[in-house]
Amino acid sequence: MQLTHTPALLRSLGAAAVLGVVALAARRPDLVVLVAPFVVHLAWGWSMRRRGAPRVDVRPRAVVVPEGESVPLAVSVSAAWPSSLVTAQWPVRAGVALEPDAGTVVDAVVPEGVTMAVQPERWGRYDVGPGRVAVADPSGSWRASTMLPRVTVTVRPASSTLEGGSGVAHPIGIVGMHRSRHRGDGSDLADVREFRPGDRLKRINWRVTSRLGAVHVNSTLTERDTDVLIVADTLLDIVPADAGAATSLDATVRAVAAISRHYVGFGDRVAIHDLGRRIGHVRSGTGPRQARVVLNVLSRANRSVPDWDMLRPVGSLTSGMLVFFCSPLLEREAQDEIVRLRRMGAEVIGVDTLPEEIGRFDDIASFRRDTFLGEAWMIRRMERDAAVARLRSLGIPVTPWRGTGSLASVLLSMEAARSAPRRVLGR
Amino acid sequence: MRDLAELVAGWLYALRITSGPQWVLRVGVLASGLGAAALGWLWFPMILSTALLVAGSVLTLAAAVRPDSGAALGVVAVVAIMWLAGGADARWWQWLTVAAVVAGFHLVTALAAAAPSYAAITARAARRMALGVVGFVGVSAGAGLAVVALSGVPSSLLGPAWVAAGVAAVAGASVVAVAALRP
Repeated sequence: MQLTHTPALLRSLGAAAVLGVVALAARRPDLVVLVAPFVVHLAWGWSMRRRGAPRVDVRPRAVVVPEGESVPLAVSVSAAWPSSLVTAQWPVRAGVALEPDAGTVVDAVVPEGVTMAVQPERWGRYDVGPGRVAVADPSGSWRASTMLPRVTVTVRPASSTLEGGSGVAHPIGIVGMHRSRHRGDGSDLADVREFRPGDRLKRINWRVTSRLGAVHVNSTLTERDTDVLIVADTLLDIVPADAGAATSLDATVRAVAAISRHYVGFGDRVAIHDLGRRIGHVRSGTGPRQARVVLNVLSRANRSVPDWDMLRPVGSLTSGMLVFFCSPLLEREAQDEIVRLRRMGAEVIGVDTLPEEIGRFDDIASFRRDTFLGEAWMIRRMERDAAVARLRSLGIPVTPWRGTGSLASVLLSMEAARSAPRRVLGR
Repeated sequence: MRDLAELVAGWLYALRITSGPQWVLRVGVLASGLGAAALGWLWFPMILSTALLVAGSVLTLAAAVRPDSGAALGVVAVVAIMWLAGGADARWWQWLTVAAVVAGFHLVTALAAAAPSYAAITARAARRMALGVVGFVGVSAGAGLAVVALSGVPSSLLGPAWVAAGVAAVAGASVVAVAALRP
């Protein structure tokens, strides 16, 4: 820390010296009365004089919190003057709320440190700081100040589990929790049939056997897992006029978090493919570890990357793979990609992450009148809605992301259509 | 014109974000500075009293806005000039009152300079500041009273000791000055 004297100490020195000399020269003892406060202040400052500067530390340096939680940043001061005053100052930046609002607080030296709450408004990684701390002695004569290191706050996106079923019509794994259409070892009853060599004895249905005279067994459907691919379109981040509203990237990240958590819970293999550069890819994996990996990757997503127009297409797919395509579906390339995935044999569900208020009539007032941006967004939304209608006509369900209940109806209808005839594209 | 508007907007914004306790400190600077200048104008009359009162008011305002500037020293200088020119005929309690107000101005300005105007001040810190100001003003008034008491002693009684005490005081102040500036 850099230890310096303050203007107040210089003021005391100057006033005491000049007025003292004048009082002596003019033989005016009354002037010494005016000098007295400055001499007292000098003496107080002198008693506070010290060689070493106080030491400061900030905790924590890096922290991971779920969305919506605040982080208390504590600046602790040791080896300071008795009754010191500490001024801690953190820079205010967009997207990070501070308590107190101005990011600056004056407090006494206490063991728990000078605390300030930091609450990022959204998921992501934030560098708070560098802050500044100044320690002043109680007489205001000395001040020690230094910079505080940056604190990294990583905010995990809210990851509630989806409401609804699995939506898996054709599980492609070997073991798992989704009921398949294939007969074999499982728990769901498919049929009761006559015994054949090779059937397990424990499958014999004794009640039917005694009634019909011939040995009958229960036939069951196998249960399998599946591969789930979540495609995140982070090429654009569409920001609504209301600064507090969720952007398209927010909706995409929250949808990815909820979908991955939902299917990891089923024991499925979940992978993430990013069409842009903000999130990055996550390899296929399963179990609680995969859920943590996905959340960590999402919380490290860089929202400050500029919009990117080079789409990175999905490489290979297994036929029957369940694909969630989270996108605002504004770009032609993204719309083509979702059709391509469908043609490759995947079960594709489009998750529309365009903010609800974008391109609406009410949104026009948010823009300057002479720019016609509001009207332009209305036209853009109309074009996009027409593209979404075409996707639906191709058998690709597209549902807007409005929270964890958004996909319930789609997933239930997909499960219900398990035994329905499939429409083959291009015929 | 645009620059002026931006300047005024900046001032208004600075006023808007000033925290409550900082308002108390800044008003304390204003009250004590204006009080010292007004008391000097009232009790230490001289030819330029009114001009010095105006100068003292302007400097006090500047000290309230920028407590770590040289304006605070200017306020002390104005009061000192008033005192030097017209203070000799004043009563001892008038001296003590002005000295106490100047002491308050001095320390409140020093505390206001410890943080920017938008800083929040916790109750603990505010209590500590208030105790500091009260204690400092009290001790300063006590020291002033001691000086008044000493000045009442006939000079014939002290003789050359009065000059010796003065020389010792100046020498001591010089040593304090040199030592204090070397942290």
